[in-house]
Amino acid sequence: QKIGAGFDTTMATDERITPFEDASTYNNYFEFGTGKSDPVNRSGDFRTDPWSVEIGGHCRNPGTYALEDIVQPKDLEERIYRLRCVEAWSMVIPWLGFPLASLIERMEPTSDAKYVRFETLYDPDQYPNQRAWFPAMDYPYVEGLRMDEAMHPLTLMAVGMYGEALPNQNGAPMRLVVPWKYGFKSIKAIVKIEFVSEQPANSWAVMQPREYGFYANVNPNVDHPRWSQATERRLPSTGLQANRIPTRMFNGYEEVAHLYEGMDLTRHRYI
Amino acid sequence: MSVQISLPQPLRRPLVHVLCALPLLYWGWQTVLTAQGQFTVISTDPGAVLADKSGFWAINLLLASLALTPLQRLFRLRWVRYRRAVGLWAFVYVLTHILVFYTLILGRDLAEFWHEVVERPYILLGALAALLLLPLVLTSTQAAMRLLKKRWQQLHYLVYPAAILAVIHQLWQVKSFEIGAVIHTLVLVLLLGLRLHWWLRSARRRVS
Repeated sequence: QKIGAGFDTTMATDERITPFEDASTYNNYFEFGTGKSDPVNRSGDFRTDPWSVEIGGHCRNPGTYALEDIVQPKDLEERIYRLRCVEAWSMVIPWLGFPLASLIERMEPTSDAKYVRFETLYDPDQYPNQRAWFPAMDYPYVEGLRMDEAMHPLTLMAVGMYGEALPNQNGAPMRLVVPWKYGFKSIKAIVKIEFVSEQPANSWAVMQPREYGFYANVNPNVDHPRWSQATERRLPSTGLQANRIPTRMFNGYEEVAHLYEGMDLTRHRYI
Repeated sequence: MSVQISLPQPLRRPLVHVLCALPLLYWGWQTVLTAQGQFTVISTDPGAVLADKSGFWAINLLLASLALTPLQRLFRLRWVRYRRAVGLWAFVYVLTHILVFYTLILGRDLAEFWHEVVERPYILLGALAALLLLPLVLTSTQAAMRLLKKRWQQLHYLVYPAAILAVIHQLWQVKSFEIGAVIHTLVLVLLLGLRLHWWLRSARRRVS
């Protein structure tokens, strides 16, 4: 449904926004299946209402919060972000959401909170791949951010896109969007947020430690072991064009560079 | 009671060709619609989808061509006569696969093409598989068969390393568990295992 209009639009780019029909029919969401069209084809009956999020760990206001208590329509703003998938394709998507920092501040994390850990819903009744004979990965899906990454003003908690509530296949009812990191960091259908002192074991880094790390910052200079990250295919490939464009450091969001000062971003454990 | 499904002899070979061509016709049709600016199942990322589908069908048909002899020996299905047709169609999908990779994924950048082939081991394996199939295609005529005599059979044993490389090429590029790649691997192991079993048995007979 339409969840409002006239949001402040920030981070606008002069790049062409990916049409809604492409962004909502071609994406990875392994809980629904490993194919790019599985999410849209299999998420029709996914229930997002009621939805609650368990927030806990090192913070002063832990508890189970209804989605309506976490986000109010008046808090929403529109952010047009590039989304760069680790598979070397990218889109430009107008999200509706609120800065994760505002939610974190309300929870009052303590000094022991060094990282934020997120979990996707685990519900085999609703997610075909969670009840498959050979699931594509260990569920529930886990992601995490360092506290300063989570507090960065670019980090968005999204509940909508293209002026509407998030489609189920794009991570409804609430997902993370971290535009300078590969897309798999932007965890979908969040049910749990935890303030922890150790670096969370994020799902892809656990499954393929030689290929994926915790930081997953977009970096054209460090290839995936099996393919180049120097360029990307901007989707949709209208009229059968390859649309190859150079990939930019931090996906073009250079303002986050200071978060990684002193880290060797070519070393695998920081990828 | 046995059910006999039989098609008049003159229609059998055309049916094999039609069946082998169906995926190409379907995805080709989607490509034409996409080129005309319509939103289709491939239009968001035609390069990735078409590379995936063409590679999938290349291996399907390659394994099908290897399955015809076991089917004859085990079930008396006399389909070996269509092996050349199936093998040649497999190569059509191999060529389509390479063409899609070169045009739609790399944007006709020849330097990038060579770079990717030598830089990415899984692409190199795929390229080797395609190269191994090339002499088989070139010697697929009756004339070549007569000319090469005994050597023809030896040459066409290249289909085994080609199939093995092709299946590893597919396994190597999947991100996690994908049923298609797993089934291809199991079918290949079964087909090679049967041949090894028969070969060992006949070798033992020759010795004794």
